[in-house]
Amino acid sequence: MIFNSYVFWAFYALVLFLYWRLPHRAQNRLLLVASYVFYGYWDWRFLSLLAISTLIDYYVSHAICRQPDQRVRRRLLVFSIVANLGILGYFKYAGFFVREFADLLEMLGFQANLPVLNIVLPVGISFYTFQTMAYTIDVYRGVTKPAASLLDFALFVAFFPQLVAGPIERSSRLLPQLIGPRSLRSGDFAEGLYHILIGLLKKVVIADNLAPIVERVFSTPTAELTSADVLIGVYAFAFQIYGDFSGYSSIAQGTAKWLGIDLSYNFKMPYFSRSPSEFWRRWHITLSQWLRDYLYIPLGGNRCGVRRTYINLTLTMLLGGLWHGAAWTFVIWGAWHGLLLVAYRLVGMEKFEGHTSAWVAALQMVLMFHLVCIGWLFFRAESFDQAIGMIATLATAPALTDYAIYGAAMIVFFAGPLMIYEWYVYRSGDMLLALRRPAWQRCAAYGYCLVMLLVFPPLVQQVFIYFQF
Amino acid sequence: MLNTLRVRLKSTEAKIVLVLLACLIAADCALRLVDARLSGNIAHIESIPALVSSVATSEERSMLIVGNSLTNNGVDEKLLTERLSNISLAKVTPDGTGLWDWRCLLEREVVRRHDVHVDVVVIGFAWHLLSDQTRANASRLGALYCALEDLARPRSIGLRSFGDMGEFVLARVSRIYALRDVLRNRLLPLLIPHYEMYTQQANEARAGRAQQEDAPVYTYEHFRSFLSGLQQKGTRLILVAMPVQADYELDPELLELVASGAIGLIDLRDLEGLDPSMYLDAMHLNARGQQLLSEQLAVQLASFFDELS
Repeated sequence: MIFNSYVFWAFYALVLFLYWRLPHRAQNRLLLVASYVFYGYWDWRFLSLLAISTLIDYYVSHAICRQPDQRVRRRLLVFSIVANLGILGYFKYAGFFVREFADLLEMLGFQANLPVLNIVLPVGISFYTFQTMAYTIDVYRGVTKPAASLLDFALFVAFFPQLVAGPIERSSRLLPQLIGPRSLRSGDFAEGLYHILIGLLKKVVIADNLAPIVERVFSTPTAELTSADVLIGVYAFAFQIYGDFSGYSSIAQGTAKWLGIDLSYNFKMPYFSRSPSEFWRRWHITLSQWLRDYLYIPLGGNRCGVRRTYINLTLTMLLGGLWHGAAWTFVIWGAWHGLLLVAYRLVGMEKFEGHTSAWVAALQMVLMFHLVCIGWLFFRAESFDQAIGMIATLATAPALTDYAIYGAAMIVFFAGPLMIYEWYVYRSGDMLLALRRPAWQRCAAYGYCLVMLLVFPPLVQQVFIYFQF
Repeated sequence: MLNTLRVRLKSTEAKIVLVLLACLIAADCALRLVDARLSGNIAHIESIPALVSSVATSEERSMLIVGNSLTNNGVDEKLLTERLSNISLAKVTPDGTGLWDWRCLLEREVVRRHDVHVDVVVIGFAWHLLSDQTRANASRLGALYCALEDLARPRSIGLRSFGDMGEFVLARVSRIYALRDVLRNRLLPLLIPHYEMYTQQANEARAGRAQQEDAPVYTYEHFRSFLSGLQQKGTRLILVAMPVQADYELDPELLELVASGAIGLIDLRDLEGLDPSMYLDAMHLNARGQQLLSEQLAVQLASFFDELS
């Protein structure tokens, strides 16, 4: 079930209708059943993976909590991590590594007859695996207490608004909300409505209308493209992936809000960032924080000298890239961002994060946006060769084509108004800026969203990009 | 809890939603008043009930020529009227239509209407447009061709998923949504350079991909049931296989129906004398092509009516 489908909204309306008529415990049971129906609607067979992950982390976390012996506690934690990463590794990476291993053997002159693994990737497995792993690690660290009820914990893992594409929530934030009674507070309806409308606008109007431009540029042989075509293709992808993923996160926030639950912000105007570290504080925030807390800091963070800090940064971003998918293009995308973080540190991060004139700040934003776009080329390309070919085209084939003019106008028409609004949000630092504006302005903004949704839905419905991760 | 909900709904945001809904309803009503002026196709669709009435209530034999732009470009109504004396005819050819649209339209305007009787319905088609595998346009069906009660039997009007049904209902309720393609095609060419050219290219690429994905076996279950409705009303059905530049085959199940005598078939795919200069594009005939096809069609229809009498 996807957020931009009629079936989801019929399902959600039914859940919402029943939800506020039930007492608290029954609300949780309803949400758990609804979450399993939501996930099972895609493929019921993979519900077992969700259940296995839930059971392992529930019982291991209790065992860790009861166990006084530090060595046993550590073994239990390792068991949980191995089990979770084992499931993730098998479904997400086994085919890739077998293929790469076979290629390596053939390169070394051996005859490789390894089986071809065509494993279906369960939707959202990377998201819920990271969420449950973080929970068990937090219990081990004593940051959080294990959930008393298995059903509450199962709901924490499977809560449908954020199950398949995040935000990756921490147990310390989401579990107490699920365990405690909930009410619809003043402003919740308004906030939920705002998130849902802007999320649908980002996904249905912006991302899905730019998708055909991206598809065309990235499926055209590089030799037939000009620099303007490549530039428009990558700009369109930058706004497509932003609209797609931040749109999903926003709808997740809105639908959860109407259930009386706060989810974390996953995006905060990332394309106005002035440095890579600022970008990662604004893009896929919950994953960045996860990588920081459970990978970068345990690796030593910035506590072991400059050289080690650079290695830790690069390694964290490499693994962050690999998290997105089993392909070298994702690894290179991660490495590129690791490299940017190191390079900006070498130059002096304070130059890009401190107070400066508006013009310098604007130039820094434009530079950072284009560096991010180079990363997107690797992220979206079918192969490393295609990405390199497109970068070479950028430098060597300057020609303005009719298609580039068309693409640029489409980007401005669909993404321009949102970017203008986000600029004001960025300047104010208030994520709910629209809600502080007079009612007539909100009415105009929501009217714009509704008309765009009615008149400009995509010619072909697209699934969410991040579902594949 | 419900009381709390009621209190919240009295909030400013709820009022904003109500104002927006009122504005949307007003805009929708305004669009319903002027939509025929926005598009010739919509004006034609709105004139269909009157067209059917004018043909089917006359003293003469009556004939409806149904199809899409292939038939619209290919058939000269005036020429046919001149050649087929004593036959009252009308051309009903809304753009982009296929089996599901024609089924809803004819069931609504011919089968279910007690005040009309049409002797012959002629449908111009190409490829597999009459097969069960033809994709339905749920918005178009909901807003323009079907009645709400048709939703009770979604498969029979080509709605295959919950999404199709949602689209059908939304298009039925909101004219803005239903006519989004018209609005989009009016507005975006003004704002986006080369919009028409690249949109057309994208549509053709998508159609090509869809054709490749299509099922290799074409069935005619829904066409049979549609045919039976027409037969019960005493209306004969004649199919016209229209010419297009690329060759296409007629499906075996359709040919079986023709052989059984349930329907007539006028096969104009290889019309003698028709050459590429008589096409506007890959499929639509120009004035010369129309003249040639209409002459031939008139001859064949005349012999059919002779047999009928």
